[in-house]
Amino acid sequence: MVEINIQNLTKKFGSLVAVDDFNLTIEDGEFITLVGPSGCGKTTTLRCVAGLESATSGQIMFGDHDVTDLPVQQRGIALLFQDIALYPHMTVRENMAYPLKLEGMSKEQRHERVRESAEMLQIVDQLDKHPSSLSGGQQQRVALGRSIVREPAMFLFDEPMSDLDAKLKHELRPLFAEVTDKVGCPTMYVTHDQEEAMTMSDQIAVMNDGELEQVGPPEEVYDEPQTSFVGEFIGRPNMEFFDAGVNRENGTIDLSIGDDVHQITTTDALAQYSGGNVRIGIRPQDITVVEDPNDGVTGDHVFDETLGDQTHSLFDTPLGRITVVTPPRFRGGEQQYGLQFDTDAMKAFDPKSGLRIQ
Amino acid sequence: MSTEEESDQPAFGRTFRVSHTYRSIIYRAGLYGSVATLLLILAFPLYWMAQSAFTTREGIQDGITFLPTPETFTVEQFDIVFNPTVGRYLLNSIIVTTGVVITVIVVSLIAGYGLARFDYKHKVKVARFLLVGYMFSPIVIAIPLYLIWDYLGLLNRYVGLIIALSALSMPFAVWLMWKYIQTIPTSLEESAWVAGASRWQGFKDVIVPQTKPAMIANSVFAFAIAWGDFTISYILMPSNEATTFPPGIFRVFTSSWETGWAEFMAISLLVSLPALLFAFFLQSYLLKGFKIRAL
Repeated sequence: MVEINIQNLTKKFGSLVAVDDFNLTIEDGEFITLVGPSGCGKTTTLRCVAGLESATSGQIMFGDHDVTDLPVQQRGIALLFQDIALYPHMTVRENMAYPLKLEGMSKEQRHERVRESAEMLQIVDQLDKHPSSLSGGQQQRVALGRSIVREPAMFLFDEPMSDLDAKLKHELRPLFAEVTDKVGCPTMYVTHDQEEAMTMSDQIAVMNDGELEQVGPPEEVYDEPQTSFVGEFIGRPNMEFFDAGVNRENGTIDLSIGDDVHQITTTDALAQYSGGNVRIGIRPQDITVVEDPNDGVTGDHVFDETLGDQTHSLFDTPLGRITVVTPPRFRGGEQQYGLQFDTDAMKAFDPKSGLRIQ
Repeated sequence: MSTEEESDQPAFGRTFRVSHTYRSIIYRAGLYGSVATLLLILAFPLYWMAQSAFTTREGIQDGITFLPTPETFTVEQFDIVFNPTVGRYLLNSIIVTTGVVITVIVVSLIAGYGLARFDYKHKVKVARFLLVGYMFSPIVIAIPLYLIWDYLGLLNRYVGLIIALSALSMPFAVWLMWKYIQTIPTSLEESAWVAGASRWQGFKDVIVPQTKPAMIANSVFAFAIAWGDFTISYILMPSNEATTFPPGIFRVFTSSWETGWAEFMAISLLVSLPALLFAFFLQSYLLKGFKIRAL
């Protein structure tokens, strides 16, 4: 078991650049989630690491071994596919034993190993069935079992839960975490679901348009997004963005959002934007609703989404439609309110590049 | 039912009504009627062939009865199989047909896999062009084939006829297999590769077992073509020893006036039976094989 090093990985399909100069290190035993919208290149990255696609340029290292040009068969990885990919003509036992059979292991040993994995995944009584007679959750367990019967050098997941319902996802998440923890090898999990990424990972790698936007622990990616894309993609409801004029006063900076002026302490980076504009991002959790329409941004209440433990309230303001997280019993009744932005929670981004200004 | 009393009220729907009971009686009468008609047209010739095959020579000369009678019933007509010439025809047919079925299955699997999994320019156009072969009458193909086979020394040889007849069913078989393999997700193979399987192992362990319905559909098709072929077999196997069954019957018919109708019917029954049984027992697979979208 070793760390995985991806260096300057680029993958082109004709003139289309799917992955552009991608760098990432996955330490031994670490669970990294590659998250991004569809078409961002995350699955292509995974397939390059797996060896199912060949990299146009760059290097993939498993420890000291350069595996860039090694065929998939020789990489010793485990991969869980989006469509599970169980062999319909084999029983669960045969499915799970297939990788061992390829290794040339004897029948008794194979069945012994399959049994061990099946016990861990609680599917012992399903071993003689065919995959088609299993439920979605059980199929996932079998697919997981088939991946772990062989000790893999690396564990790869290609959106394995995207076709499952929310309840089942919730049930399987801890199982995936537990199993990868037990196997103990580096894990790369690809998903477009930011909630999955937040809940399962040691590190999150956010991708957009073939490029890596930010890598870090979930809380860091959430609290300190390095680009406006990361800010918007991670966290629900989506971060709200506004254009703000920057004015430098003595020792402080005035950010004017609409008619509202927020005074914040100067940073050198932000001071350079004085006289110009920045993008301000703020999470709906950091906006407070007050009764007085003239306090803060005036908002006409439109609609409440009741979630039970909180409410997502929509307001029409001069700045556009804004979502605010309000208390569970908040009902706006289509009245006018004032929306107050928490100045400390504001993140400033460059209006062109989207990069964070700190 | 509409009645006199209702006539002054506004009409609701059609005035002609049939109760559920009558409706189902009419429906059933129509259903069983058409089944009976179809059965008569399709099955009667088969029955008549069988009935004649089990009748003595004298029985046929006297005019055969609709139902078998104990006095004229016999199985002696089937002794013709033990006639060395007819037996030879039968053996030739069995060898050639087996060869064709095996060749078609093996080649269509490999070609279908190639078409389904590898991309090259004008792939679909090339595949479509293969089907053009079906536009020609067999005799148009058979005569040039005779000259070529003669040149290659393949006349009167099993392998020669097996190649020719396999080529006849191949375009369809390859097309079916191509479309069938396309329905098998690539991730199944990829997961085998990830587990360490080579491309060949993945094909053998994952793809081939799943193509069973298409393999069966192809073998039924190839069987029907090979077992029933007259034109190509007649031309490519000119010697008497190499003759297969369908041209064989023709030979028997033209060469001797000694063979009676009952014996012809016995031979005809023997020729038809394997094909019927083959299709009958594999029909559920056959339908599965043909049940692919975008065929």
